[in-house]
Amino acid sequence: MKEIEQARVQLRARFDKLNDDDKRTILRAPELRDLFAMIGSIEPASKAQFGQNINKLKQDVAGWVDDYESAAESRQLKPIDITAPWDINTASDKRPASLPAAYGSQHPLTKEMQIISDIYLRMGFEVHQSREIDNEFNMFTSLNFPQDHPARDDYDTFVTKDGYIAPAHTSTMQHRIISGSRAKLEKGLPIAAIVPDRVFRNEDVDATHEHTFYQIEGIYVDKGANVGHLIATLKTYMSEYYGQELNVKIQPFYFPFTEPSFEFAIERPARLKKDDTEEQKWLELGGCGMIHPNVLKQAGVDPSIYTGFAWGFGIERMVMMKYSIEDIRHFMSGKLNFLRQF
Amino acid sequence: MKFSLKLAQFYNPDLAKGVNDDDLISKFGKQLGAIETVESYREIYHGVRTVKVVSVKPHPNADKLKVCLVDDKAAVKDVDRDDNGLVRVVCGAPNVRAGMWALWLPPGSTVPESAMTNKEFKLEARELRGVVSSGMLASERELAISEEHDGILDLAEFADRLEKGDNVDVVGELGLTDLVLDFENKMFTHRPDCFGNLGIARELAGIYGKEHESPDWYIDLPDFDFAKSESQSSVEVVNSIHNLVPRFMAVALDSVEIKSSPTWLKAYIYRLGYKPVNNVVDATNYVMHLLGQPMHAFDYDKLLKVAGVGEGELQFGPDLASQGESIELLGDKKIKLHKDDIVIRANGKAVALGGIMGGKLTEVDSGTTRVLLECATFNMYSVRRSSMRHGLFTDAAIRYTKNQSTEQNDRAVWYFTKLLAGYAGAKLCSNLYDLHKNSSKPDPIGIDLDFINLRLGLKLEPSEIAKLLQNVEFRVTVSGESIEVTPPFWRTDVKIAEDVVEEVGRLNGYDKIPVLLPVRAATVASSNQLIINKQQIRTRLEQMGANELLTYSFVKGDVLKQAGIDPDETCFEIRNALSPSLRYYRPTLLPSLLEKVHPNIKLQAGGVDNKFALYELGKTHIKDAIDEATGLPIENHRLALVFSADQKSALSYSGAAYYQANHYLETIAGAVFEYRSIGGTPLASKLFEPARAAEVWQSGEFVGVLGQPSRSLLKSLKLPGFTSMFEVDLDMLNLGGAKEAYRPISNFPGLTQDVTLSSMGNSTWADVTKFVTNRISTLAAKQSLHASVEPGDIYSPDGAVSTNYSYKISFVSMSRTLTTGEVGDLMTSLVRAAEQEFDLKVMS
Repeated sequence: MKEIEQARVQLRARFDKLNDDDKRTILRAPELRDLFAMIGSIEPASKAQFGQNINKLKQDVAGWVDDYESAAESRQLKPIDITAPWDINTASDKRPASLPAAYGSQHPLTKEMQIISDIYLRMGFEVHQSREIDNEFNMFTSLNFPQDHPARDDYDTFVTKDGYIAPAHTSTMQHRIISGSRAKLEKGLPIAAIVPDRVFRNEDVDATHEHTFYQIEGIYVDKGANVGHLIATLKTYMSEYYGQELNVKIQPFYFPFTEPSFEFAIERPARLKKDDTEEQKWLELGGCGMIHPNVLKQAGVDPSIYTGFAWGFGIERMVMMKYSIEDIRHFMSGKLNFLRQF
Repeated sequence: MKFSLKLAQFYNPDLAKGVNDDDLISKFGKQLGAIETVESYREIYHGVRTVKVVSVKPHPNADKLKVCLVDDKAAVKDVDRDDNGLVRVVCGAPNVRAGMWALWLPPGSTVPESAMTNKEFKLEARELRGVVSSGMLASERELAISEEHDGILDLAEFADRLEKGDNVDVVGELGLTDLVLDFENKMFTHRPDCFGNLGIARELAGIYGKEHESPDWYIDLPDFDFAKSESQSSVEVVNSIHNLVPRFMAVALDSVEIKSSPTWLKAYIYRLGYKPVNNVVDATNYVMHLLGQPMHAFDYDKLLKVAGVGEGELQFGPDLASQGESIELLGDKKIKLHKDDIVIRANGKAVALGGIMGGKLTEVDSGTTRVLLECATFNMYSVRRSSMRHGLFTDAAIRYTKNQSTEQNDRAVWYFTKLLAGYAGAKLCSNLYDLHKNSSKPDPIGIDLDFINLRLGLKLEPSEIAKLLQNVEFRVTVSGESIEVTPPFWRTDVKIAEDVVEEVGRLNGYDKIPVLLPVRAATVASSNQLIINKQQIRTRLEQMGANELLTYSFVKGDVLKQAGIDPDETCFEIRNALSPSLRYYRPTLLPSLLEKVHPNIKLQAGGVDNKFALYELGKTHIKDAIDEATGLPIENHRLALVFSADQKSALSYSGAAYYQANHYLETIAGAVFEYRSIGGTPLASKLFEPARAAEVWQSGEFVGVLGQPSRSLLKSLKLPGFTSMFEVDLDMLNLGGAKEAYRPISNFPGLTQDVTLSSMGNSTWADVTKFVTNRISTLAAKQSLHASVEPGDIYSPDGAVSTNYSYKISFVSMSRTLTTGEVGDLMTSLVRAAEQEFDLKVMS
């Protein structure tokens, strides 16, 4: 491999000395040819690596030429006045202009999050944002997931080489919001917040699964908060969102950060109902529960005085049902024929 | 995990009374957990008849077939019979013989196996090689009770009673008309007891408000007084890792007759998802499924052989593996062990991966006569790590990772031994070894009545709470409003008062909770400025015909390299992404946006007018940028926009595409920025064409970068030549900060003058415009006038070195009508200043 590195140094020195018009000739340098000729005599074990390294050198040399030529072309470009609103000699009908407003659109997911946030804001909930890179503490430990607990397996998290985590749920904000708003409790005010944001699960993508999607987390902490309040809060929101009075039902589930934990379903809104069968009656939407005392404790809130509830649901599914979108992959596709429909 | 209602009803006959399937499924869902699938065996055995095979004769036209006459005691109507009332059935089973009892599927009945697979096969009388056969004699597979298909089911177990003429309900006694419910394991991550059929039976009883009594042998362990063998063997059982294996039990059994399990047992475990193997293996699976307690049966003689020791010299127990050690597991799986794996050793040799899978060399097979049963409790975290490490997610591992109680191993061993004594003639040939240092039973939990009612929003009486919990075998003592609850030993998950709240709420029924909104002070929910800003940007951009898109937060290395970014230096790298295209956290949004340009251009997605502006509001991350206070990477909130037009649509603009992106940025921000050339911006080097790009500054702060993509990107991403873009930091961007204060409206007409100034090339448009605006404002103010400047043409005659800038300047006074004379004087002063102070020439 030493030969390759030597050749690299030689070639670079020669390239730098070449006249402007001759830079390209480096691509036909005999050193490259000679190296390729050597492959045959390399011992089999390191042959593949040797070949790769020569190719890498060849690509790098081509890169030098490209960079040089780009820079040369740039030098030839007539400079523009970067401070001006339009270019020199531009007729008044050819100046920069906005596209027709009719072309414009907002992404259906951010649009929906705005609608959802607006309802919660009217209900007195603050709107927070989540993070895209977080740590194990906020993803698991602060949420009462013991180290190595099997419940951690249910979240297929992306992990960076430095050990950071791409949040797999917006519950990563629970600890921060509760501990950051503790002062409210002391003033006799509840903590009421929602977090609509992007989350990640390391799984394969198909028409109904995305590794990147949006979730909304809701948190409420106060003296005397109970399961009935949780159901009523969900019911109030869902009824407003769907524009009709809807019942909510809960059924047992398990999350380490709530006790008790539930899944919740709403009565299927009329506009999403196909028929009157039992299957069409309920729409399962997400998880919820009473915030686990360990989560409150870790956030500096005394669970013998204060109780709280939290809930979460996905946004894509609601949007897909709303517009009858057939494939979840459209959301991140950047296809204009999709985007301009909203 | 699958649940058998029949098995539950066996342990709690109350569950057979007044319990209807649909209601049960609905209650199960509401009060225990969602059911994934329901398999009903209720209706599939209707047509099955018990018959005696009276005669078996060779088939005249087929070697392998036999013609049988069977006696169903004339139970079936509309079937051909001979003079003696017997029915002719052609059968190919090698085990069919005269005098045996079997199950017959008459014409008109449906093969049970086919009914479970949704490909119903209805039998009829049909000719088989010239002989008419009325229905068929059924194999275990056809009856959906195992995969056995080498012969028909032989009802030998019932033969004595059937011969006596007893009325035997074979299908009923085998428990075949079952209801099997399957639910997701993760629902019971916290419920070790629900990984046993008995645990779920108990829960169902609780849900129905019925009292559940676990079998006596489970509550009060009976003496271990099974038949002893004449030859006793001794094993040295050792546990060197008591902290990881809190309990380790072993017992040896001899005289074991390996054979097929009794039909009922086979049928149960088959329905529950296990493959029947032999009476020993089936019994371990059955006990595991009943109690949630895994166990493993070793061939004792093979253990001695593998250990290389003689009778009475076996040393047996759990230990940590050594690095580099390997083991061959059941199913021919060979794995390299890790030093944290728990193994079971026989005189130093690893013979099983503890809590996960047994070894191949000591497997029980048809030649086994002596069995060494091991029944331990392994540390859940240790088992989980080994299970993940080796990708072995066995039924045993799933249960051990739910924190099974150490108090039930002895029950499981007792029940397993009872089964084998009964079905395999097994006898005890060793002591019962039990290494169990600390017994760990759940502690009593004291709770106030209010604590429960306040969290559930209910008004339950102490006696109601006691009843709910006692039904599922909690011990409850009530004294006034304080309640002391002692969970049964199998409920290792119930530790704190909130756990009891859940039990009470669930068993009482969540639908009984009053639904009332919380009452709270009427405070204001504070707003989030960043979210408001983003929404303002979205509204403006939509009005400007731009389209918001969302792209992944992770990108592949190639795209970054093309943009001149070394991902390993700059980006956080995902170490476990399933897709190689999701490798790095993006340090800029622009490459993701640029990637979306070509596909849209190619598809003519912009319509006949194939031009568009795509933008994204997203986050970026740079590897070394860590927030010291939180230890977390700094998240940059960014707005990026790309404008692109195909060749034809680009004709509606003239000049550099740069100005189009510039127009979008200035319009949405409602501000004029300061632009500097991009020399030193690291991210811009290969991303932008240096001669067509600028750094964007506002009030002395760096806001972002704007310009046209570099030549190499144009080429590699197949971008149209008329493409420009920007990316700005939302935290630095001051939206609409440049608006002037309100000025009263004048009742007097104003005057407007045009002026064109020529620069010799040393000044920029911004310099000239700023000079003109400032100077004329000052001059006008001295005369109590207001002047406003509107930029016009920027013109350079072909080949000329100079550039001409035109402005329209409007003057207005609050108190009088202006004369051309006074405005002319102001313009003269401006022009003079321009010539003297700014090196500008006035064009006439």
